[in-house]
Amino acid sequence: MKTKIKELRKQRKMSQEELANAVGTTRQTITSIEVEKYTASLVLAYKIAHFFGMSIEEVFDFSEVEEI
Amino acid sequence: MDKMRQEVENKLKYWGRMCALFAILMSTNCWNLTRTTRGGDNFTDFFEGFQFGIALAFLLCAIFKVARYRKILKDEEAIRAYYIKEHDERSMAIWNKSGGTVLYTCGVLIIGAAVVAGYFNPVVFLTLLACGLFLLLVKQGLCLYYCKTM
Repeated sequence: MKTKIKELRKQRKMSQEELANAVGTTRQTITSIEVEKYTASLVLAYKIAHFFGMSIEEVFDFSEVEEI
Repeated sequence: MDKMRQEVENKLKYWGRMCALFAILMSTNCWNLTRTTRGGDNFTDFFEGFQFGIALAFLLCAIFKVARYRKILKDEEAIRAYYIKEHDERSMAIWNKSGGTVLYTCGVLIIGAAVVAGYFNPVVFLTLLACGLFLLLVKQGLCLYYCKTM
């Protein structure tokens, strides 16, 4: 899933490690989410969006999610 | 923070008990080694050595864990880092996807069964031991694979 985490992080001049510490996860998880290898859980997505002061839809791109 | 500290303390207690259990196992093995007459057949010697080795390995692991948890408990930041690492959702996803719980439990139980079987039949002992090690190897391989792809 595409996300804006990397650009939001760059805007705030934060490292992956700092973001990971702020949302209570590991740097590896943030890396995997940024390179679209791993899709964050609802709780982690909420924490990340909340950290950037945005809604989940603004940070995560749901346009490619298949509708059934 | 209290919740995190409590979790580390619980693990410390658990591994402390394990340490005591493995120390008892180890001393039983030492007692057996001194009691048994040397010069038995090859398998008997190998089996005794295996039992001694596995008890020593478990004891060292338990001592290492206890030392690690004691060190973590001294530092608030280390407790938080440990808690985050333990509850990381990607690590949990990797563990679940690679069937970690099933493969690890089966592997350990089969190795335990191999130790019991060793008293009766060398072939069954070696077969179960190889099977248990293979399961643990598969689990580790799958974990590595999913670490790369997730």
